[in-house]
Amino acid sequence: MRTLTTLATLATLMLGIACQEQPATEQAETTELAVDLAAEEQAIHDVAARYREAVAAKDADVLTAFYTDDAVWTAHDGTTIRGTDAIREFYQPMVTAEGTASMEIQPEATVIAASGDVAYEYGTTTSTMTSPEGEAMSQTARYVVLLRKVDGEWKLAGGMDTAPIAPEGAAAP
Amino acid sequence: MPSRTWIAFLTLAVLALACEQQAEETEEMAEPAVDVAAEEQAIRDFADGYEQAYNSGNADAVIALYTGESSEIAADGTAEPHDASVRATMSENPGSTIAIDHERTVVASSGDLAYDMGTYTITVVGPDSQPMPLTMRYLVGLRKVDGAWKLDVTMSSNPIPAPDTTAAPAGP
Repeated sequence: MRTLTTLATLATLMLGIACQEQPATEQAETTELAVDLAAEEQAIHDVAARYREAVAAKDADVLTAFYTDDAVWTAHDGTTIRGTDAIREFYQPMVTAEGTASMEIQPEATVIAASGDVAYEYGTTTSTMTSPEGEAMSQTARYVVLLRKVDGEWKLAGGMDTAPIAPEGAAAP
Repeated sequence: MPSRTWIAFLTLAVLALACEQQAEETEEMAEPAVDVAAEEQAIRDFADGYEQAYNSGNADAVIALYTGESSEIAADGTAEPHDASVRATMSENPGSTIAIDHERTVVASSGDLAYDMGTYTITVVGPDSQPMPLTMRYLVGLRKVDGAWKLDVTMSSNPIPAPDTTAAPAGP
């Protein structure tokens, strides 16, 4: 009987401790499971890096895959394209042009929701087309992009870019 | 001695029940608290408030709707702090009014961040004193600050052609 009493007391103590500790432990795990915003920002920058690679590869299908199915893109003149078919068509002139293409992206701010499913980013991009003769033409513009996480991947859900801007420090004509 | 055993078992049972109840409460707390549809509506109400503040000519009230941490990015690529941008627009266009037409509002499941896009029309008084509507496409990022939605980054296109409302309806 003494053994039974000791076992019951031990079990009581263990249950008591487990019960006390459970919420704290779960809370800690929840905190650990909470969105790591630095990692999400890095993930968005990784998407930008892959986007640059796709520009260099001039691959319209890969470029289109960066967008959500219902993405909306607006140019500075208000021209708006919607959906992946229109976006793929938008890339055709760049894809079919002779020479090489490249893009640099300089984000100024990447703002991510605490839930890690919606974000927006703004900054500048510099696009360069180089002819087969080696003549390079670059233009820099500001951009805002809207991002949504779809099946665990950040996708471009929308965006807008400006007219080309003069590079900082450019000499006046 | 047997009574000690019963006390131990009783304590065990009570603790087990308490533990279960605590777990249920934890589960209840884990339920998502954000009503995304309500937040989308809150953003549309916020836009209504923006229209009212702008249309009443109250620049301070308009500026209070921004986070003050970002810029208005214009179609020509210039970026200007919102307070300067709002004051310039409102002082250069006295009596102008704004109407916002949302196309899409997306709110994060955490309810602290959103974006919104669509068109807005600023109606200014033209050179012939007639109202002159200018419609632009816009795209904004919003953040919740102290429980209230605020505009963070904002971007507008150049004016787009107004829809032709004078066209004759299609007939047989």
